[in-house]
Amino acid sequence: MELFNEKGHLTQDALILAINEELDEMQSLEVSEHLSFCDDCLVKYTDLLTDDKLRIPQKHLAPSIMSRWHRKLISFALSKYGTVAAAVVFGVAVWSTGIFSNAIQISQGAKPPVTEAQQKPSMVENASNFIGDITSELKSGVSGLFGTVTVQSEAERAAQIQKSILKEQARKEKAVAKLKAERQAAEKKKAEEKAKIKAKQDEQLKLEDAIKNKDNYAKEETLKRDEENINKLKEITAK
Amino acid sequence: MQKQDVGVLCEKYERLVYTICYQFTKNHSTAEDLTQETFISAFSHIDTCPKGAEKPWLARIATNKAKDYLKSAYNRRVSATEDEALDTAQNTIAFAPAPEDITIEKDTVKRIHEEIYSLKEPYRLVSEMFFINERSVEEISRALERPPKTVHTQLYRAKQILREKIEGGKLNGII
Repeated sequence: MELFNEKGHLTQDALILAINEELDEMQSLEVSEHLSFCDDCLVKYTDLLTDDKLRIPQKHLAPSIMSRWHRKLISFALSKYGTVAAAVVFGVAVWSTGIFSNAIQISQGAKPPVTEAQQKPSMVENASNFIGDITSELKSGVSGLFGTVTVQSEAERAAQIQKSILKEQARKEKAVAKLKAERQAAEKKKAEEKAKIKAKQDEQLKLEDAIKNKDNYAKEETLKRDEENINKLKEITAK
Repeated sequence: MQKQDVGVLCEKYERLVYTICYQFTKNHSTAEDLTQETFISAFSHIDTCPKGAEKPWLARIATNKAKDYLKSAYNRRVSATEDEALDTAQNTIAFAPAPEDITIEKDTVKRIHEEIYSLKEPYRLVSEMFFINERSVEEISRALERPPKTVHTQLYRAKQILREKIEGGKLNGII
C-alpha cells in the first residue's frame, strides 16, 4: 500500500491506516514526520479524528498536566526572581563603590569637587530609586506573568500579611481608645449629675431646717409672750 | 489564546492529543507521557496559537512529539545494530567523498540510478535531487517545502534502503 502520492503527500489510505492504528513502526515514523510539517495533510488527518475515533486515556490526564504546568510556572518565576535579586544586589554593590558617580563627574567635565557629605545623600537617593525601579518592574513582571495563576514570592506574601496585621492592630487600638474616651465622658457626666442632685438635696434640707427653725422661733416667742402675760396676770392678782 | 485558557484547552483536547500519540506509538504509558509533554509545550507557546485553530495546532505539536519519540527510538535501535559507518545522515553526507573523486563503473551507476528511481515516496524525490541532480539539502528543502532536518533524515533512510537493495554493502563508500 502506498503511503505517499507522487507529490510526496499522504494518501487517503495512509491516513485511514493511521486512524485505525494499523501503521508499523517505520510507517508511523514516516507519517508523523510528514504531518509535522505538511498543513494540508494535517488538516485531512484531524478531520478524520472524529469523536467516535478518539481514545479515552487509562487515567484522567488533565489534573496531572495542570499540576506539572503550575510547577513549571513556579520554578520559572523563582528563577526569574532569583536572577533579578542577584542583579539588584550586584547593582547596589557596584553603585556603593561610587564608580558611577565618578564616571558622571568625569563626563560632566571639570566641576568643583564635591564633598563627601554632599555626595552621600545623592548616592543614597540614586540607589533607592534604582532599587525602587527594579522592585516595581519585578512586581509587574511577576503579576502579569501567569494570568489566572498568581504566583507571589514568599517575601511579598509575608510583607502583605504583616501589613494587614499592623493595620488590624491600629484599627483595634483606635476603637479601644474611642470606647475609653466615651466611657470617661459618661462617668464625668454622671458624677456631675450626682453632684447637682446632692446640691439640690442639701439646699432643700437647709430650707426645711430654716422653716423648722422659724417655726420654733415663733413658738418660743409665743411661749415667752404667754409667760410674760401669765407673770403680769400673777402680779395683778397678787396686788 | 490567553494563558487562562490552558485549563479549558487541556480538558477539551486531552482525548485528541492522547489518541494521536497512541496512534503513532501504540503504547499507553508512552502516549500518556507524550500527551503531557504536548500540553506543556503548547502552554509554553500558547500565544502563538491561531484563534479558532486549536485542534490542528495541538495535533501538529502532538505529531511532532510522536515523531521525535519514534525517531529517537529508531536511531537507538539502528545505532545499536549497525556499525559506525551508519552514523548520522549529516556526518555521512559531510564526509562522503566528492562525486568527482569517485570512479564508478558505468553499469554500477546505472544500477544505482535505477534503484533510486524505484524508491517510494517520501525518499524518491529527495534521493533523485540529491544523488542524481546533485542539489544541496537547502535547495531540496526549498523545492519540496520540507524542513532541512527532515530532508537529512529522509536522505539517511534512503541510503539505508539503497544499501539493503544493492548487494550487502558492496557499494559502501559510494552511497
